[in-house]
Amino acid sequence: MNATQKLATFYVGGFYCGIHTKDVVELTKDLDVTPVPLSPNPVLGLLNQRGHIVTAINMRLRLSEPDRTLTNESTGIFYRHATGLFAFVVDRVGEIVELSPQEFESPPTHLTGPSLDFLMGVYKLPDSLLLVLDPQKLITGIPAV
Amino acid sequence: MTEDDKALLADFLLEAREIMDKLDHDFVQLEMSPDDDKLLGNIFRGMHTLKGSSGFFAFTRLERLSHAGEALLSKLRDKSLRLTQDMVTALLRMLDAVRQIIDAIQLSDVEPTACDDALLSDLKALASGAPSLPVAATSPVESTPPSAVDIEPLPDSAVGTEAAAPVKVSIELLDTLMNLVSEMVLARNRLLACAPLITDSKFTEVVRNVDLITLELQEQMMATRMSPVSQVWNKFPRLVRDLSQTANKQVELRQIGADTELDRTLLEAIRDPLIHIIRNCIDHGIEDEADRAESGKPPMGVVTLHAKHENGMVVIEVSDDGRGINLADVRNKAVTRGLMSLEKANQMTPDDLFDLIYLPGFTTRDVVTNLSGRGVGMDVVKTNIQNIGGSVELASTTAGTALKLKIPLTLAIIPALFVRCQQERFAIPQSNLLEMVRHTSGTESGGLEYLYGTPVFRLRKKIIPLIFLSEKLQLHHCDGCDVRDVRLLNIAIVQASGIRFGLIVDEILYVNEVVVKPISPLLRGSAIYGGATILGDGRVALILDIEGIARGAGLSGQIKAHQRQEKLEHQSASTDAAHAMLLFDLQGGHQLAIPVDDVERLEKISRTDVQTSGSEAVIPYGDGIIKLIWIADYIEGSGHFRKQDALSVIVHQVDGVPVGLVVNQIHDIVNIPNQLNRLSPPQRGLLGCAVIDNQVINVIDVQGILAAHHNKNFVVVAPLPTNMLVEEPL
Repeated sequence: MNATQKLATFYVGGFYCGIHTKDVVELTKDLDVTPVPLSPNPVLGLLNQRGHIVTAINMRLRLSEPDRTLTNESTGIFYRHATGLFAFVVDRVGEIVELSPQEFESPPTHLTGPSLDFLMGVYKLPDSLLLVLDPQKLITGIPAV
Repeated sequence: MTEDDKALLADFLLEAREIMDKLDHDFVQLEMSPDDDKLLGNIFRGMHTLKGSSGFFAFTRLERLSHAGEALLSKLRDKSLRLTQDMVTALLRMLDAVRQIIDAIQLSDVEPTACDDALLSDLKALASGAPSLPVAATSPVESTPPSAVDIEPLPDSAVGTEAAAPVKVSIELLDTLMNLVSEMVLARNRLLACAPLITDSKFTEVVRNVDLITLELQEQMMATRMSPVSQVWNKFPRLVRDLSQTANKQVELRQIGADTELDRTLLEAIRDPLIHIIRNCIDHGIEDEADRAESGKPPMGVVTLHAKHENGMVVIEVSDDGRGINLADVRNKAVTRGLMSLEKANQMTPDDLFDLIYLPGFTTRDVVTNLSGRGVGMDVVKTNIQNIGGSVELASTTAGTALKLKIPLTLAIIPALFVRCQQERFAIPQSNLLEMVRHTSGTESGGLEYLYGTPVFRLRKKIIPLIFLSEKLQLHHCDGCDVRDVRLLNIAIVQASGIRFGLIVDEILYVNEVVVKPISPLLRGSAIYGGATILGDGRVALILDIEGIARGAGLSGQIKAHQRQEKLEHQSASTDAAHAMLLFDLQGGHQLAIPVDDVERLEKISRTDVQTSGSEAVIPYGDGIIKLIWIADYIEGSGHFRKQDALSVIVHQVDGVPVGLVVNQIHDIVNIPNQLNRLSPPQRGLLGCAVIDNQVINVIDVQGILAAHHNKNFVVVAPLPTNMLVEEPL
């Protein structure tokens, strides 16, 4: 697999993350989220994307970062899962980057744990690490109430 | 012509059109490639089908024309003739004639009369090998105006009829369209909300137009989702035939209102319940021939399916003329299965007994047959119907049983009541909603009370458990204030699965039609939300799953069980470790208890309502009266309580007659061990006592008190002792 990987990058708390662009449906700011009482912890609520009900995931909680209220930079990264549309709500989005597989490294084995199930691997960038997340597992890993 | 024939004819016309449209194209194609055997084969088969169907309907013109065409084609197929332009022209003319006949049949159901001799002889001549058509025969087709007229209007009529012919559309496409229309409706709502801001009359007019068109679009779109119930029913004659043969009974199935339309998805949902019911009818309901003869019924049993629209619901009634539900059997089964004591069973009304058949695992059958008797049927029927927002009613006599299923027309767009709870709006499906109550506490009837540890509210003498939505949803309420301490209660009285309860919300907003959208399985785990919808302002609102909430709150366990199951529970003293008792007191803080089973309901009455009837103190209640007994008079050591304006009354039933036991105050429900401490010497009016939390609780002897009261009033043997003066209820 020598082709470069296109990643949509974003920031959540202290993390710099990315998911493959092919998984991204669209990006939206100004999210009007309806909270869902008694929902699993990382679920921020529901939002309306042109008539579709989208489940918004609070990525700060999902990545076990301290929670905070949405800002005008908060962005929903929409992802189509088998069970419906989801939006990963992140602090702010970064660039779309193209990276070569040479920089890629699978997650260190000693880091495996339930919280890191969704980590596909890491790109070693000159000044930072880019965590590649598996959107599928970001959703399926949420425990039901 | 019967309905069936009409349906067959419609199918034929549809098929004929499909064939003709294909032939039109194929003939022209054939002219270009006369040696295409496969194409020729297709044409021949199409022609043959047309001929066969025409013969079936006795459309002689059609039959003769298609036969002549087929004859020519068969010559072409076996290569004894070679296709010429004349042949194609003649075949196309034949096709045009056929098309005209089909059009006419569509309009009037009968074949129009006309002379096809010229055309037929042309076809025959060509089939018999005539190299080209005689000039006389061809000329009318080629040159005279009438035939030109025949051909000219064709495009028009063709367009017209094609539009009328049904088209097959995939369900996914329909659903997508439905979704889009829903969006359109919501967008329209948002537009309407903005419209008043702009005063331009032209704009207002456009908005009005959009509004009307959207409404029509929505209605028409809904129509596409509807299908006649016959789609489910048409499998039933076979089912009935097979079942009745297995059961060795003669049964006829009658269907009334098979064209009643219902949402497709609902049709699917009622299929299984209907099969269950029909099975029950045939296996349980309809007697065997000998029994039927004995009760003067014809040997042939009848199961009737009757569908109709009623108040915006579809009502499907399944009735049989069998023996009906044998109440004695139900009663016996309930007793032998240990659901209740014989005494209780005998007290139950027919309606209560009918309710038993919906209990899981309940069957009056001793033997499980392959048809029924496992006791799963009615339970499933009720659950399935309730899941789609419907209800089941049952009526049974010795002349038969009738089950009425009430089903909503559609689930996609439902009317819902919007309520506010804290900052959020929630929708309650109207089908769950019974009524709304605004209660100001501090009025005489009292606000919240507690029963079985659940807050309850009295609505027209019925006790209704309450759920605080904000508590249920664990929404934060205003700083430190107790939600239960509000003076004004907005209660939505709702019902699901036969459980009625009140949902306390902060504000009742409005009723609106909502498009139900599914929510992620992640959020379904809590069983509180039935779906979501998009509001006029574009925000998402959650639709409450009333049944789920009732279940989640344990209401079905607490209240329903106490209302029904506990009555059913076998009251054997040794098996139960503890018994639920209602705690109350008389004057002086004595804690007394009465078994909950002996409590029908609780009442608070005004002293001024008390009247006398003979020697009895009574209060009017509904159409009748309740006899009052001041139980302090019959319990040793209890003093008289002060004269209050409001009396607390525990209503107890004796052989179906209510008796009101007047007490000082009603407190709570506690579990009291069955093994009571005997009092020595025995105290009048008390069975014994138990110690709970270091407090002595005396359990009253209801039977003893009633007997004492009876003796006092009817068999006055001795003057009342002075210390037992009856408190005059005035």
